[in-house]
Amino acid sequence: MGEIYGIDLGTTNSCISVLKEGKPHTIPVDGSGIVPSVVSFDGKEILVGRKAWNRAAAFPEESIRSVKRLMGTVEKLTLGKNNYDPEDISAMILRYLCDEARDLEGCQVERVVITVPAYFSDAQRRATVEAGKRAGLTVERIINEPTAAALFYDHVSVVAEGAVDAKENAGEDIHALVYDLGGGTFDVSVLRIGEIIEVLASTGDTYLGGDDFDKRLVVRVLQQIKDTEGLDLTDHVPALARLSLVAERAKIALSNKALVRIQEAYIPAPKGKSCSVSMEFSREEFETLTKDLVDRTFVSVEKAMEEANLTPDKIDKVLLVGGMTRMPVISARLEQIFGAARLPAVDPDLSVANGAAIQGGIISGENCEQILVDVTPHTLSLETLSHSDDLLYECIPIIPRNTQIPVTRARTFLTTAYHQKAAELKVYQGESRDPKENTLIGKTMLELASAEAHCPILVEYSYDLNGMVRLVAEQKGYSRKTEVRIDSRNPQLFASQELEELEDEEENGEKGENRTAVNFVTRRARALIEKMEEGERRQALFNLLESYGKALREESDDVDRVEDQLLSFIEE
Amino acid sequence: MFESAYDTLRVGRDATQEEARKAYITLVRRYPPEHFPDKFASVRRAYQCVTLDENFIEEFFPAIRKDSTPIELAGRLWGDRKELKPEGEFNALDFAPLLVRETARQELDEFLSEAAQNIEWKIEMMED
Repeated sequence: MGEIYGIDLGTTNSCISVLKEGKPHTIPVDGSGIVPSVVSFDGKEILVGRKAWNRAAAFPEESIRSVKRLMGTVEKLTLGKNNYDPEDISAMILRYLCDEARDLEGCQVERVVITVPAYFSDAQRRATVEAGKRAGLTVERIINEPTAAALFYDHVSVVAEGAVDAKENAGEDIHALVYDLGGGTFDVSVLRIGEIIEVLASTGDTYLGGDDFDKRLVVRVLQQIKDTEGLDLTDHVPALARLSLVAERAKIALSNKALVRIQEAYIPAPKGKSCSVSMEFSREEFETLTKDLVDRTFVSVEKAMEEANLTPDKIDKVLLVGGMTRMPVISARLEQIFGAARLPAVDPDLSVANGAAIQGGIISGENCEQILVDVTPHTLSLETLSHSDDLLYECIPIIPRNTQIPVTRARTFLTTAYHQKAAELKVYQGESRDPKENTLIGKTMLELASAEAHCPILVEYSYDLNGMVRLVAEQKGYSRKTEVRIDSRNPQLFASQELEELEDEEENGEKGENRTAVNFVTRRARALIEKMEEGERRQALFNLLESYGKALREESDDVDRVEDQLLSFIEE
Repeated sequence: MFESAYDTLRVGRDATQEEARKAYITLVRRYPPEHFPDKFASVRRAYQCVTLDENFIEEFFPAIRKDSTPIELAGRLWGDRKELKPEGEFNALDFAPLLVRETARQELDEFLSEAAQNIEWKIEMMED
């Protein structure tokens, strides 16, 4: 069984890490390890990463950037003569990362943990898993980016003593807020970090990121061109692609300098013409242009704190993640709210991938020390008829947001009519009570046996560690049952043939679950045995481990009992 | 056999919030969600139950929603047209009186007695 690699599949940049001797280590793909999430086609072959990024400046129409923003949609992308799904493009980036990592590390990359923004919807998560599959990888887990960053921070602060907070030293829990502003998405999570790492609240915006900041700058440059050259390039795609790169460079420069000069010649214009632009742009001007975007992130920050029932003075650490957090106004505003001392230095580019690698270690059992409890970012509800005369529909929540996962929740609903033939079950994701404001992520029909009106139907939702949803519905007392795994990209299509497939997978899943538990227990026991000195206690532990192995081999009923004894012993 | 939330969490019925939290962390460390999803879920549930977590109350006593009026609450608790709790789920009510402490208990009592006036609802369930 190979190592599990952690991949941060970002909007602008991607990154791959792996645990080495218990420590996360970024693989220096493309030199720095920060690989642009760009794919370009040069007529012969498909380029990915730094090479594609260099090419994208000159040939924007043959390159694809920010594909992450299209994940979970059915939009087609054209590259060369072929059309691709967003998943295919993401798969190319994943494949590139893994191939490069293989060449650098000398071992095949097969199993991966991929990060997604915490606020990603079900469809976006599924698309990410699909991209992994199309890249020929086994996606062991999809984890949330802010959670990964916190895992890495916790790991670093445990290992490097210097970074330990006084409160942590005293064995008290600390509260951390992760502010993750990436190329395309914004996330904020509040966590409690102590003996276990618990996510308390998670919120964000999947369409707010560096790209939006760039766009503001592009609009400003377009205005300048219109003023000086009299050309309106607002709808000219090649010009826009070029200018967005110019804007990105200018934005990055403005993080260090108060003033930049934007100078660009041969900007493509319609009818084979070209034009040039030269202007000065100040940080202050940029901050005014993007003030509303920054404000939006702070609305989410407040919402997250409110949902976690915390005030700013209760937040001990604020972790900055994502390249956009280099913008000085963001750290300044965070310092204003939380105080400068609460902003520890963490690498905004690498911590997510490193956290994913740590999660990989948790899954493989290599890392037994950190225990993570994550939450659902969205409420899952069922559409019901709240008023049968007016045909008013209402979403009744079954799994509320910020519920710890994995979780299974059930609720009973009633049929509306006598001899009702079937019940349509529509699963929605979103916070509103009005179905129109939520996203439909799946629907199915439950055929009913003939019964009185108000016959109870039990509806059960499950949300697994990957953030995927499953639904079981049952007509009480009539053994009519339906079970579906939701495919939100194709909510129309669930059929009974899927069920068999599902059952097969389930069986494997169950065995898999046992295996990881056993793996976890034995690894912990072995690690302890190695540390312990020769003596009675060590022998006792050794014997327990032996009898555990025996019970497992014989598949006897003792397994649970011995497992419990063993775990109690380890804790002591 | 029916296992109460206290049994699952391995604490006594007089456990304080701190004791409950300590027991919870010990058990989560023992049964991480990663490797023991089912055991974790029941530990989490028990912890919410013993500490009267807001979400838990919301789920088992949908009546206690701050913005509802007593008559709505009564309806919700007992046979609302669209949502009726299955018998099984009322298990939590069996030991609820033991859990309800301090302000939460008072709040619950007030709500329930008001609700009971509006609908013939058997409140014996709530008594010890």
